[in-house]
Amino acid sequence: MKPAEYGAASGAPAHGSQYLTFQLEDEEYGLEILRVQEIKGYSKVTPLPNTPREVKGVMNLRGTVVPIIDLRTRFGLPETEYTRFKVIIVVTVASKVMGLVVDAVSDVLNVGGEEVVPAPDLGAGVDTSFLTGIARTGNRLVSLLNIDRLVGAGKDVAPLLA
Amino acid sequence: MKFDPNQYRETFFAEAAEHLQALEAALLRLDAGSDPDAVDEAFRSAHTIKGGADVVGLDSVARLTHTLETLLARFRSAAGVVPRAALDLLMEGRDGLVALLDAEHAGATPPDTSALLARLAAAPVQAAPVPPVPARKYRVRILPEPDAFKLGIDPLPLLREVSDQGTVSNVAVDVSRLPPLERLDPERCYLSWSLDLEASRALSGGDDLFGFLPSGVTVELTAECPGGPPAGVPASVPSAPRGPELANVSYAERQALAPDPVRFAAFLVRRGAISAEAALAALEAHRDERPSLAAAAVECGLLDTRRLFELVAAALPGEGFAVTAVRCGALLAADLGALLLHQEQRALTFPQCLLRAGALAPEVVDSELAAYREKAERSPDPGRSYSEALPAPVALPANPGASMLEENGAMLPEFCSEADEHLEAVDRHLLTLDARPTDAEALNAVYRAFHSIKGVASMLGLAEIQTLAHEAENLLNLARDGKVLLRGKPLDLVFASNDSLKRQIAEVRRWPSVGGRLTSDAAVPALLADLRAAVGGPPVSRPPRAVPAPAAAPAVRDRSALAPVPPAPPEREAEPPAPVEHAPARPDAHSRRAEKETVRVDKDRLDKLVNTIGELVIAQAMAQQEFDAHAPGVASVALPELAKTSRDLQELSLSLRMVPMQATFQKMARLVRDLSRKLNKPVDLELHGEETELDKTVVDQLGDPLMHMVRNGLDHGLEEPAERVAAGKPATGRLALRAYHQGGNIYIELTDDGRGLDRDRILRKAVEKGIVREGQRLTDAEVYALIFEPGFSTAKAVTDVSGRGVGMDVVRRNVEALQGNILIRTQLGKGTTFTVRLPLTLAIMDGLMVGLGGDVYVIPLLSVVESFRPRRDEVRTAAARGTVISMRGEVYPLLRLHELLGRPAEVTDPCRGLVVLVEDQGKKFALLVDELLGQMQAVVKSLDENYQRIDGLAGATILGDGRVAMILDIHGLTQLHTQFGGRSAPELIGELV
Repeated sequence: MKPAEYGAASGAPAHGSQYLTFQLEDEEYGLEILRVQEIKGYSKVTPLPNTPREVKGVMNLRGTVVPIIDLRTRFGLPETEYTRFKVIIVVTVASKVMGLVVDAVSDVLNVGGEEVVPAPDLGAGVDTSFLTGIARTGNRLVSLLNIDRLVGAGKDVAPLLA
Repeated sequence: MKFDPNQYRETFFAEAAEHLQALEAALLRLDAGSDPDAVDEAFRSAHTIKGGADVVGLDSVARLTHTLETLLARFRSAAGVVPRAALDLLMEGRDGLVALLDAEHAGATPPDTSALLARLAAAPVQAAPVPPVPARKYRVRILPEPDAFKLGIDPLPLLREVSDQGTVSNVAVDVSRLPPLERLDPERCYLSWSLDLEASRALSGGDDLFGFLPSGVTVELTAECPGGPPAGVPASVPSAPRGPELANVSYAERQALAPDPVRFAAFLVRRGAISAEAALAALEAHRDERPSLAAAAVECGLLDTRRLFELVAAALPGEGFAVTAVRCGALLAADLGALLLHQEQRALTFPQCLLRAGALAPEVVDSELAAYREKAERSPDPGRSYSEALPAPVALPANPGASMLEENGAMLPEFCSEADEHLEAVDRHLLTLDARPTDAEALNAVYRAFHSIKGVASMLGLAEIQTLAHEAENLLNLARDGKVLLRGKPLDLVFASNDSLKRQIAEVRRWPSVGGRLTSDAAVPALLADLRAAVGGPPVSRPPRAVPAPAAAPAVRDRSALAPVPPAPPEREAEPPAPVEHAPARPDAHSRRAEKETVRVDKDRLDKLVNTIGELVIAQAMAQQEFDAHAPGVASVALPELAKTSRDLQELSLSLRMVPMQATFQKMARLVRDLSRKLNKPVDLELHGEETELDKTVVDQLGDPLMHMVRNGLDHGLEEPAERVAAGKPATGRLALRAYHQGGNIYIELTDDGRGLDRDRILRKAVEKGIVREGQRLTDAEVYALIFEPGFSTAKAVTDVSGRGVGMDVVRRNVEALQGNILIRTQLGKGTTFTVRLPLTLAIMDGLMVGLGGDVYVIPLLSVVESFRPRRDEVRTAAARGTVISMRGEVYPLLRLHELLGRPAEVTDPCRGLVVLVEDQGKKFALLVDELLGQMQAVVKSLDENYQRIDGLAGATILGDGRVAMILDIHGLTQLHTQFGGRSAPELIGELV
């Protein structure tokens, strides 16, 4: 079976689109570029009391108070030190603006529809509902993130946005 | 340049809204008493709207306004005395106009106004008896002066205006002044017109015919009157008395010719002109030989026979034709009016029936008619039926609730979106209840939502929604009292009620564009029965109080019931004292405001401007800090200048959002007017300080709590008139609503001179409800604050206006959401004053900056009482309540901010840190923080704009250095404390003892 058929079957984008890719631990992830508002270096955030652990706090983005979410914690990866290499990707989700902390931003990737395969079902323990699919370009594998699911209601994860 | 009406449209709508407000204000003033200026003002507003509507091509608006104007014009000469009935109509007309404008603005199908127009046109002018048979047939001559065109007069609209007044026939153009072509000046008007007008009301002269008669046109009005004397104008063509056998008599004429059949028959029998049997036979013939409504519909071309057969087949048992036709969508409710008119025109008059039956000879009929009239004219009220005295407007088929809907059309969209929000919240909370059936918070939230919907629905006349919400409330009330467990069937019932309400709201939302009858939700009757059964069921003894009957299933009508209903007699001076309200006593009301030039700005843009300026102020502060860091000790010239300018700019930008309270107060005046009638309690409402300005967002959110306060004041605060008189007070109650500024806050006071709060009764009830322990000592303020507790009510009876103890809960919640508070002053038997204190704006807040574990938090200054470092002996650990600070004989619970927020702190010992004494709802708490950093004006940023609300936080703000600081919500913190204390009291004790 050709990869394209997988893509079409799972509803992954059939046409090509651009993704911003970033590093998290050893994995490479992709975010639809149209959802990305800007990229910022990490600066100190003001912690929010009584919120889930992945919500690091809020920061001032030119007068707007924007929540910052650590994707490491969101994915259950061990936290690492906040160095100056850490990057905040500012995204728009359902008309709300929020920042995602990632290890590093890699590049912008053109992904054709035929290069996307649906995320494999990895068994009960692993939640793949955050992913729209996996892109194969050359010898790289990039997990394409479904940002609405990611910060909205996940399957087994409490929603970040009420 | 080409004129594009579309460009003007938006401006027109905005202006019209203002004029409508002015119109309502003027009408409310008229309601308070005669006021010639108010009539003029109302007239001017209507006239301006009409003009604008003409320009932008909104014919329906222009027509309605014109009718309003015509009605108003008739009171201009009456020294500003407007009878109540007419005033009601005018108000209704205004509301219809609002609905119409809203629909046009939204691009929706405008509601049908023909019914309203008919009623307006037929409004009684004077409360005093009207001349018995007013002239209604006129010969009208319209003679424009030769220069008319140059004066900008177009005769065509004038002619149209005439045709609005009734039926026009025999229109003739007089071309006698037309010169030969070579001498014709195309810019001169040589033509004049004459026409016969059958007016729908009596006219006294040319001025009366037109709302506004421009100079340059002469109008001659000559009355042709079949019966009575000509009204003021000499009759040029005395009309010969016409025999009743005339076939093609018009409706108006027939009304004049045909007396009330039953009375006339009785009259004839009494005079011995006919036998009683003959009279009965003629009456029967009169009844039976009317064409049926179905026949009328076919004749009018509204139905074809095939469709008619389908309808007959579709009719439910006992259902009348009209009901079936409207239900099946074959006819619009609005069509029925026209049909009834047609039916009436086609029917034989009673004298005609007499003639046909051969009971009387034509001459005898004529003479008897004349005798009857004479008698009717001589004997005043009882001898004469009203329908003969006035041109009878054809009453439209009652469409349950529809007229109220029309009246309140403007409020519908708002109501619907609010109701939707409420219902969504209900769903959410019901799900919580599903898991935890006794969750008090969720239960109260559901209750509040139903209550709010009920309140507004009753105001709008949505009886079915009101009833359902009320019944659901009854059930929830039992659940709240612990008499019913919301599990299984009861919970399903509440869910079903919620769903049904959603459907009905959706229906109401569609109504303005669809019009006609609101289709009732099929599930409602069964649901109501179940709800009542559940409430009246075994475990409970409290039966639901009499509830207004559910929006009666469409009444079954037969042919006779569809006959036009004689209009209600005009309201007279002697009628039972109607509730009187006082509209604003405004000293400067009569002086015309100098026109100020204004620019309208989109609200989003304004918000953006305010935000951007807020950012500028922050950036300026940051610049100052950087400058200070880089060049310590150096004085800058430019920076202080920049600081001052940016602060001025900020102040200015905030003042842009300020709007006067007027519109909100006006809404309350209307509410009082409606409620005082409903409850039959005469009320004088005084309004003061309507021009007081405050932030638009605050004004917008103030409507709901004010409504509940006013309802509460009217229903519970004021006694029944009899009780008042017995207590030596005037029967008319007094409510005063005032607004004023004081020290950066706005105060809104609602005062009633009613029975006042009964301290003992409140306390008893509170003990009964378990809110207060027996023997607990409370201050007066604490006792009075109990009335804001959810579910707290001392009312002996639950009415559909209030009494469930929900309203005041809503008031407190809303006021607190606006960061305000409420103070009650009361004197038993003398009255109560509620004072609501609110910040002028929500955009900016005075705050106290405190430090906690290296972070900065802001406490609203409004809640801060004082701050101090307690001495060791002032800190006590009470086993059950954690740590308390005992000072000056008072004991305050200690809230450790770091514990409530789950954050690290530098200081945990109150004697080494700092304690801020804060006040929430009359109770004081000590808040432990690390250090005090200073005072600031915080520009409030909401957290839910990009994230969500967080318990204990009112929002965030940006500090001078660009960092974000959290603004604390004191009420939320105290609630966190309660939860926290409940969870970990043992730990606390273990740690502290």
